[in-house]
Amino acid sequence: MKYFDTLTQGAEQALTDRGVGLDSLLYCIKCDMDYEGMYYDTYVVFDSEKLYILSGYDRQIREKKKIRYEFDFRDYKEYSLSDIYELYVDRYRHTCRLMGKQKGCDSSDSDKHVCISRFSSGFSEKAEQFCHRYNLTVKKEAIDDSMLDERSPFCPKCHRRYPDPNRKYCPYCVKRSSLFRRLMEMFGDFKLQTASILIMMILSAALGIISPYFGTAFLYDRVLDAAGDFYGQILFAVLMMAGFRLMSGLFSTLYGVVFSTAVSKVMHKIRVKVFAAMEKLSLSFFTSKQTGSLMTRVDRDANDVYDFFCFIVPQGVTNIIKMASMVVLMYLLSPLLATCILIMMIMVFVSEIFFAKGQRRHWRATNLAVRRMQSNLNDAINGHRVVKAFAREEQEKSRFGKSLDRVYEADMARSVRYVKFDSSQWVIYSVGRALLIVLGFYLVIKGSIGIGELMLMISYFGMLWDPVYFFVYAGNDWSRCIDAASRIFEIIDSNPTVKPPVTPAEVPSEGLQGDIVLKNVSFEYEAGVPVLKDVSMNIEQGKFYGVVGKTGAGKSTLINLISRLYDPTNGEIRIDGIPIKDIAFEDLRRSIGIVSQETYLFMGSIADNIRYARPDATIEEVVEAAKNANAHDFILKLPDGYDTMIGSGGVSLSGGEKQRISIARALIQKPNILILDEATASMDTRTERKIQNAIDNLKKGRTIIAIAHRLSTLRDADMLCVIEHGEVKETGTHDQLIRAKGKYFELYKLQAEALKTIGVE
Amino acid sequence: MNEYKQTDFQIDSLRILDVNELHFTRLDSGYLDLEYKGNRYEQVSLTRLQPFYYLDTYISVSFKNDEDEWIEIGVIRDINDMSKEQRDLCAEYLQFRYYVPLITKVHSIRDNRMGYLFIDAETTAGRKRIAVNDWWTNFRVNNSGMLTVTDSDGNKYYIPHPEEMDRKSYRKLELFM
Repeated sequence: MKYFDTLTQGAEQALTDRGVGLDSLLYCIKCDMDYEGMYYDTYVVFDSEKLYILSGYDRQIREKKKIRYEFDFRDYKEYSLSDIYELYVDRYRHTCRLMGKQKGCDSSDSDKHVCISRFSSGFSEKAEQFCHRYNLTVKKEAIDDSMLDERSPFCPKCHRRYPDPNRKYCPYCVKRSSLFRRLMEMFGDFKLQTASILIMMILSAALGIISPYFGTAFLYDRVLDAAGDFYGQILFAVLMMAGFRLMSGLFSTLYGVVFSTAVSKVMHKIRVKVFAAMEKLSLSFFTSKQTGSLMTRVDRDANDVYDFFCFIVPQGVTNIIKMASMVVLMYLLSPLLATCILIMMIMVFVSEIFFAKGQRRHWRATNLAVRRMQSNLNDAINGHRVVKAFAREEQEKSRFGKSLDRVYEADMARSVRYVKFDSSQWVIYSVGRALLIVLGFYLVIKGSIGIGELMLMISYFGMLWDPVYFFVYAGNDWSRCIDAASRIFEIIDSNPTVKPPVTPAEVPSEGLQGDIVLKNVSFEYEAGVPVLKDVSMNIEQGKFYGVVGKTGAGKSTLINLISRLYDPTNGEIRIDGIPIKDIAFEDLRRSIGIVSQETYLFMGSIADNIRYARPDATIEEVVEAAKNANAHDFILKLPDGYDTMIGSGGVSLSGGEKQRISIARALIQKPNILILDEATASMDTRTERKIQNAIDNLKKGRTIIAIAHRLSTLRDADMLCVIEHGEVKETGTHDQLIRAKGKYFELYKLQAEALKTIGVE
Repeated sequence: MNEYKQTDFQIDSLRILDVNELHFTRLDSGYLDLEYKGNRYEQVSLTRLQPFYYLDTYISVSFKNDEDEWIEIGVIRDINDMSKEQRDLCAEYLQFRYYVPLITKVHSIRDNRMGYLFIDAETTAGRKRIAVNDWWTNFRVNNSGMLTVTDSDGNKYYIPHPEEMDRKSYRKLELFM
């Protein structure tokens, strides 16, 4: 039994005790609620004879490195497969029921519905798949699990399902240390940059530690003291001091050069890595994430990870060395004073840690308030037309004002807390320093330390604060980096749901010819909500195929499957007899041209946009495609013709104009299969007619699949297909379907009646 | 059988149902059948129009037609206007339909684990460890102040009044609200 959930040892025992043969079990799901809505574990399993329902509670017992489960039995039921002849999922708002259908006692009785178990709605996908397999088993039909085989949905350690089946990472089991390890592996890419920064930092730290010596211990105890070995050599002392200052300045310039070069390289590599990983993912990844969050990953998260390589690692190492060497030097100079300084530092460090912990809460509050304010701002700016149309400027002003107030309050609370703490820390520091000086002078008078050495100790005391503060706040930066890294790894680790073939089939150089066969194709975007159900159709090469249906019937989904933006959940698609999954993406995409409802044009000139799919196209080909798409005339009226810049900061085009450019973009590819998904929806009738004629010209030798609400657009189709609720209801030519007086006839009549109401017959 | 039919060009409008004409029957399976003004509807569905604000008022009643489309019969203005037996039946159905575990206490929240956040919480359905991915999207406070948490499986949990929770729980939660 491979799917869908696994039985724990205790549950297996409970079933065995009731005479259930574990080896013959076919599928299992674990539901998480009882009928009253309390969390309970209910296992629903079946073999070829019976359906078994075992409920109880899996208790997790941790034993050293292992997790063991004990099962507290509560209830057990079994039905024969002939008794419950069908299972289905009954959905509510946040929970679902697994229901069974039982035949009535006699033929006059209607079917009885039995509740098998209840579960949270998040488990509905597996429950739907479980039901499907149960129903096929009852009907003694073959079950195809190949779609499930591609996924390994369980964490091998805790046996929980992965939250994201395309990413084999279990958030329950992953350790932060493993993230650190992975970051360090990435480190290999940037070793040269990080090492150079590290070397510069260590050198500058060494200079920083040595240079105070010449202005303090050396000057007072060896140059100014009559007993000193450099007594009276003031010029030498000044030259040493100036020399070190100069070296320090040179190093800081050099460090700046090395650092800025390294930073650019690191940033470039990280961003390219994330973007490349993102580009290989399937369309479903992009539709499941907000654009803003994806942009953040390429931009801000990459920035945070770069912090790890360029700041946290080098500064952490340098500060450890700096601190350790200063502590050692101080102990060599005066163990008593060094101990006092160390105790004071530890006290300050601990209090800073507590302060920073509280301050983190304030930072979080500020960040939240800022994000809300930005959302409000974004809303108001994007919706400015609506705001003005309904004269709601005052309302928006007050809404934005309120969100700004929250930012101000959060900011103030944080700043006031900081100022209060900082003042008290300053008092403690000053008192501590004063005490240190008093103790120091006492030791100087006693002769156990020189005045210069005392000055050096005081300098080190001041220099120790930087590393202390670094380690206090490094925790924050560290968390931010690890958080960003986890999001970046989410992208890098994700596998595309639509995978390229391992060994692609051979496709002739002129591309696929366009003989398309769909066999029992089903598809669902969301588990349990089928969009296409068992669709079979045959689109002959060189024919014009029209797809008709109401909004949401599944027409665009059909196109998405043919162009392999998604893979069907069941069934198969073949083009020229080759399974679509075996065709390399490049071969498939160069053979198919798509013009969809949503047109997107990139920043750049009109010519660049038209030749997007074929950058090597000549200007003649570009103009030819624009002419075919009826775009040439309006392009000529634009200030810079084909060089007119569009997109952000450029000329803005109307919906119809954008649509015509996107048609030209598809036509320039000269694809053998042309897909038009409501391509002329946003055009006036005259333009639509013109484009229709252009498409007619292109028909020769091309397979055209067109979706349209206006049936007039499809009047010349060789074959029409009516889709309703994801099912093919009718196929035939216009005349055949009109004569059949079915769904197409109904739609045709509706549109004709609508035209009549405006006086068109 | 489900008999209601709407013509193609009929302009739709709000139909308030006459509570005195409504007669619901609860089946053993938990489904509701309805008789209304001489028509009989099987397995009807009751939907709160504003589930966060109006629990007993403005309840839409709909049925599935032969083409598997949900068709609204009308809206009950207030189920408290119905007979006690009928009201209890509707209230029980709605309670079941909108059941969602409420978080009553937060033991701990662990942040930043591979982009996930873990809440160890006490809920009205029992103790639960909730994994939330991208908390910014999955922690939502609506206008009434109710916090909705959606976990990585898509399951929802509510906290109707977070500020009324015990102080420790609220302190842990407020960072994400």
